Amino acid sequence: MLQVFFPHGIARYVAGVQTQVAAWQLPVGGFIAGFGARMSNGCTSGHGICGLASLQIPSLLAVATFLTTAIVVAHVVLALGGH
Amino acid sequence: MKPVSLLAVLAGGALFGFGLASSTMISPEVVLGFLRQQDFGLLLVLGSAVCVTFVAYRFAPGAMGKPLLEAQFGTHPSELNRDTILGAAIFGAGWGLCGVCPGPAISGLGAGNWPLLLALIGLALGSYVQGRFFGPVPVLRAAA
Repeated sequence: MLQVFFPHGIARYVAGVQTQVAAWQLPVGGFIAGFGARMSNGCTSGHGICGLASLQIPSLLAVATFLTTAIVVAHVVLALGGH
Repeated sequence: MKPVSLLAVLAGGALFGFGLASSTMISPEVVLGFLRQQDFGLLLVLGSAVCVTFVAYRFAPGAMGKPLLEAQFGTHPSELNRDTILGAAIFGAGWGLCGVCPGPAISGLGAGNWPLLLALIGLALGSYVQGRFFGPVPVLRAAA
């Protein structure tokens, strides 16, 4: 049974593929994203997939907004030497 | 919600996770690569997902009449107000900083990418603080 779920062994699975994004960026970015997602009533899934697929203008505006700030912040982080 | 509907939710979640994993969207590096215009795969994934979901939303209710498991189809309309846009701007800032949004934070754990737990804890805390200290709790409305 275990062989089916972990064909390379559990140790290999636990070792996994670890992200190289800096450890501080994950909780800090996650906190900000969680705060914003609840405030905005949606995230990339809620506004991005469900909202756009049901042709809702507020979701379209939300997607345009979060794509813009995400692109800006991702470039700024890179410029400042982050991951 | 009927207990059997929870199985449908489980299956839907599993399929969503499978899709995020097979499209490599569970990797923060891939997402950040998109945000830095190095890899436009995310647009393809998002666009395809929107198309499939659009077809389901648009045609399934008419073709089926009622859902297989529940009494009626529901909707969850987006509201346009200051918080929708300001919240989206804040969400984007966090997403751009860590490259992780809520779906991949959860499904990426299935790939053994344990540092994503840090992002997941951050997401939960941020959501808690927003609801507890800033503004009303969002209410999901059932379809009329």
